[in-house]
Amino acid sequence: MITKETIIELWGSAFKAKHATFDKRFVHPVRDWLIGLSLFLGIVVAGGTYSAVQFVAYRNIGIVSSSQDTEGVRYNKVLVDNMITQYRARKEAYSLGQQEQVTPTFETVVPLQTPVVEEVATSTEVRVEEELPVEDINTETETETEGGALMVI
Amino acid sequence: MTKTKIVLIVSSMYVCVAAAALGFVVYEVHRSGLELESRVALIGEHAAKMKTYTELSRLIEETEEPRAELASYVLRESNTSAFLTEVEALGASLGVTLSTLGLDVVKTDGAFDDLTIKFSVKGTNAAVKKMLTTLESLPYHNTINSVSLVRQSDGFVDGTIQLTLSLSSYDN
Repeated sequence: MITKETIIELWGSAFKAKHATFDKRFVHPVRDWLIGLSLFLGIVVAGGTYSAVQFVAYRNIGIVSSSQDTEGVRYNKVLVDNMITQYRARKEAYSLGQQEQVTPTFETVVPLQTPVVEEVATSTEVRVEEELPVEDINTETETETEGGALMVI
Repeated sequence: MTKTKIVLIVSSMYVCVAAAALGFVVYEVHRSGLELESRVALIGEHAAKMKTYTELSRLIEETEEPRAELASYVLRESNTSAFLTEVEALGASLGVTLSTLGLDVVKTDGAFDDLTIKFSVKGTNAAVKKMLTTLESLPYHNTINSVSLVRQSDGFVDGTIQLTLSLSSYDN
């Protein structure tokens, strides 16, 4: 049975050189050196490969502005110019239409009825003794309207 | 403890420390690489936004005049009353009795809503035709949807006109 004292004794004997024994058949310096050097070379090669990979990966890194995420505003200049031209023409036509005055024209003209003259016999006789003075009936006056047209009153 | 054992322990510790340092360096290089990629992407996105912002600012400055002119051809909600007054005055100047029967605003998915105005119109045939022509040439984005005219016995024309305009509900 392995007791606590046995373990302490084995531990003490293992680290005491004078009691240590080793088999020289297990000692192969060349092999051990080769293993160590191989391990070292492996680490160096792995590190170098990793460094090279990282270098290649980040050698050509640059700022690329991706225009896919931010879609620019599209401005159709031709369409805007066409619309402006079209609406300017409409505005001009509208202004001209406002200036024009429409004189009311009736399609159904009601004919004027000729006045009926009736002769009425009177008992008193009217006689014109003197000739009435002739008045100047040319009383037309001209006024200028806002639109520039002359209106005859 | 013999010298060989001390060398073994020290060399083992050295190997452990070196391996840990190597692992740390590899980890740092990898982490820095990823961080560099994310920062470069962030800078690229920011540069794209700046480019878009610059182009948009330039576009806004360059197109200020035509946009303002185009906006003037769309009736604003705040100018609806003035527009109705103007059209009724226009009718009166053309010799047409024109009055507003009703308004209807239809919300659309587009930039502007649709304002439909129904007018009653009465006047001579020529005056009503002139009125229609003038309404068609209104300097607004509009369409005459329907016209219904009845010739009366007295020579006048009586009817309704339905006009639809694009309505801008915001003011600059």
